[in-house]
Amino acid sequence: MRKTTLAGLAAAMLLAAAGAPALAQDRPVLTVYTYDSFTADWGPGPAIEQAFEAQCACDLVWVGLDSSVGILTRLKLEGPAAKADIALGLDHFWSTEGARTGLFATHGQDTTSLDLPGGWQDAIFLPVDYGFFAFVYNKETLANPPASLTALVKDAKGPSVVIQDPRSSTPGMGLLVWMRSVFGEGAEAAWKTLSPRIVSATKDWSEAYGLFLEGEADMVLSYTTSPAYHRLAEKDGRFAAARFAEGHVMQIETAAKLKAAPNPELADRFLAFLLTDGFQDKIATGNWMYPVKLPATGLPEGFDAPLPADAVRAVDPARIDAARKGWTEEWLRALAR
Amino acid sequence: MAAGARPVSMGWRRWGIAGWLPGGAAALALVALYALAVAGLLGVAGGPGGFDPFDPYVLSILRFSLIQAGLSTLLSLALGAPLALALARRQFPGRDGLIKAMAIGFVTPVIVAVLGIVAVHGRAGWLNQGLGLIGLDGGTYLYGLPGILIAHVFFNAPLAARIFLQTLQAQPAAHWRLAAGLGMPPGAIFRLIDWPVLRREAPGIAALIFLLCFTSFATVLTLGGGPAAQTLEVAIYQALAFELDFQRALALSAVQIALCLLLTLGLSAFGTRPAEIDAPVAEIARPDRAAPATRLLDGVVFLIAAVILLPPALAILLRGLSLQGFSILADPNLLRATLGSLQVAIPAGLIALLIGFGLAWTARHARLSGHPHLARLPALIASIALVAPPFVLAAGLFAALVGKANPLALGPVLVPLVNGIMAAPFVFRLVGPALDRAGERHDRLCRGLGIRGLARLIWIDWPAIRRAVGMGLAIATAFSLGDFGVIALFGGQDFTTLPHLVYRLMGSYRLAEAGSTALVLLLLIGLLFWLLETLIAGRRHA
Repeated sequence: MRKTTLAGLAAAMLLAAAGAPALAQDRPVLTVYTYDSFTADWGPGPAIEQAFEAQCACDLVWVGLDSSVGILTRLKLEGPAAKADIALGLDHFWSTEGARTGLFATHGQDTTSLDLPGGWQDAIFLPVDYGFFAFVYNKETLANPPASLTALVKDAKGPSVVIQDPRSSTPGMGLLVWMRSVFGEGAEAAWKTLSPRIVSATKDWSEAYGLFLEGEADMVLSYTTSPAYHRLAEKDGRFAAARFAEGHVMQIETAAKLKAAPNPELADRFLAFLLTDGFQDKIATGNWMYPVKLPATGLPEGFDAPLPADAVRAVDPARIDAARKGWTEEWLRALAR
Repeated sequence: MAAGARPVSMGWRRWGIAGWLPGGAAALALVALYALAVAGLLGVAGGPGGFDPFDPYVLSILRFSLIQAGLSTLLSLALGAPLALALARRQFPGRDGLIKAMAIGFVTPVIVAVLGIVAVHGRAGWLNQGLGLIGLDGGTYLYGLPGILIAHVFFNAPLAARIFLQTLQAQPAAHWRLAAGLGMPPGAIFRLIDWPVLRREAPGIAALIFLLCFTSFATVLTLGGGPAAQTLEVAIYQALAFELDFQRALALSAVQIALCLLLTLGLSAFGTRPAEIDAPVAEIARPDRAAPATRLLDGVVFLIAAVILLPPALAILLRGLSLQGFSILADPNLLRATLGSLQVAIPAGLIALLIGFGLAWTARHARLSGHPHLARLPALIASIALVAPPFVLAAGLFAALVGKANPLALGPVLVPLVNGIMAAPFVFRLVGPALDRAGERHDRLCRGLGIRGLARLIWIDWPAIRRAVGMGLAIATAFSLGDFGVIALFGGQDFTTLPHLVYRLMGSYRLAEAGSTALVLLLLIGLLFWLLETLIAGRRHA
């Protein structure tokens, strides 16, 4: 099916020369749909692939899609023809919508002893990692960050922010949920108050973070773990995540098995593998999130401990599913200056 | 068409198959692909349904889209046309290179260009730093309409200049001999020779730029600042990827296509066809070069263009040149992405050439054989290809084919196809006028001698259109090389491209490496331009 062009041939030859493992046609293939940055060479994907292939006598193939919601779009487009065994990376805000598609089977894993604040009940989607949304700032240019979401919103002379569009970005959706959770019916008014200080609401996290690093805004919506990246990978200690008094909304990324998985047993083995060290110890500095089951080696040196339970703002995914469209429209109304 | 000197014996010749077939086949293929895509999306279990494509939000973004696209077009033409005139009048070292570089802005990945613009116009940008030195603060002026206009002018003014320049330089030599012989002042040369050309080409270029700005996506999202400044394309993406409401995505696409076609038709009513010219073209030193007035004018135009266009380009260059960023050069991903990009861009460029050329060929045939109204049809179809949202086309084709083929194998086939279709209008827009000129010049000769079809293409038309074909192919290929939208929908571990790698790096905090990767992409685009234009357009350049 694949068009063989000269370039493709050359690529294959170069890859083989570079020592890439040859495709073994006789081994079963486990196909995992995920979001793109997970599979990048500097993401956790390659190391996880190696760890799983060492024990499964199979070939793990990642299919990196444009966003985590993109995984669901893709599966819906493919319908029963889907070749995926596992969908990895859909966050818990989308688990109700995901379950509604009827495409996913139950995971059958024991989730009672996870290191996940608030625990886990869902029988279809299995948590794999989590993080806390937070506004990240440069300590040198913003000496006194707001101490709460309310303070950030209410202070007309407060810092400027870059955020993401909730229609295309998961942190954007996270902030929508956070604002609703803190301000309730007053969220639209709160958005209006914040609006003049929103420099931009970008399509993806990348654009927003890029604008922030360019100095376009005082704060950027990201994760509490972002400063750890600068500290550990770049030896740059200027960045910090503001702690907000109302508590932080979590993002929990999940995995689920497709009902129509071509290799259901292999998929089950992969689900079990997700909660072992082979997967979990690559999350912190690979995906810059927290492992849901702390590996034996613990968190890497210099990686902040997760927020304590009292700093977490619990939200009900089922409620978010029902309200998502309305909240998005509210956001659009409030920001359409 | 058989009205020539000799009777035509073969039936297919009487029907002018060689004239109608290329465009007809291209049009049929496009219509079939669109129909397949629509059927594919309708076949997917539906969304909630029962929506109103004209709800207040959609109406408000439509209004904004019209304003920003209209202003972007006006500004791009206002800068592009004088720039083309100045370039037509002047010769200087590096001119050819500059002209080639001008098309690069247009195919720069949006995120790269946006960060270049931010580095100049942002809160902490060069302009504000400069103002700070003299005690002024420009503040944040970028986000909203200003940012969108700056970016769109950065992308499109050089494009407009290149297309204008191409036709300005295709003036018959007799014009210049006459102008020189009569001692025409520069004002008269402009009025009598340049202005008719600009006026003839402006509606087509305006339509192209308007449609590009109207459907602009990531630029508008990032620099627009928020949902007050957005385009219909964003709403379509929202319906398709976020609400998973494929019917709504289709309905909004239909609104977008219908609206854009109406606008294109409106603009084409202003277009004039060139008068029949029967004279050889030659590049001749224009007699208005020496006049002090044009020297001053051209100097001012170059200065304005340089102030607007150069700093962001310089910022992109500087961002790419960093030691940390260069570490990407040792990364095998870079090579893989480069090969992947070529694997998409080369077939996409050829598809664009086939479609665009086919449509232009048949449009000319229709005009020359006395069916001028039919000649509008190919232009209309080319416009549809430009404004049909690529996401919808790609997703629809994917949905239609996924039951019949391995979904993982579809990406490498659909990405070049969709990119090729989207780039076809550029080929059409560039090759069409050149083909028309050749037709008007040689049609009687060809009829008289009975030269048709392939023979006419090779012996008569090719020398006159090769430069336009080279540039069209270069732009179409580069456009596909720089595209990110479609590949993101398919992705895959073993299938990646350079823009894709740029986004991946940025998504993993690696901004320096992303900057250097972007520079590699731009170098590749530059190389491609040079290669295609040298090989196809011949040694003499625009």
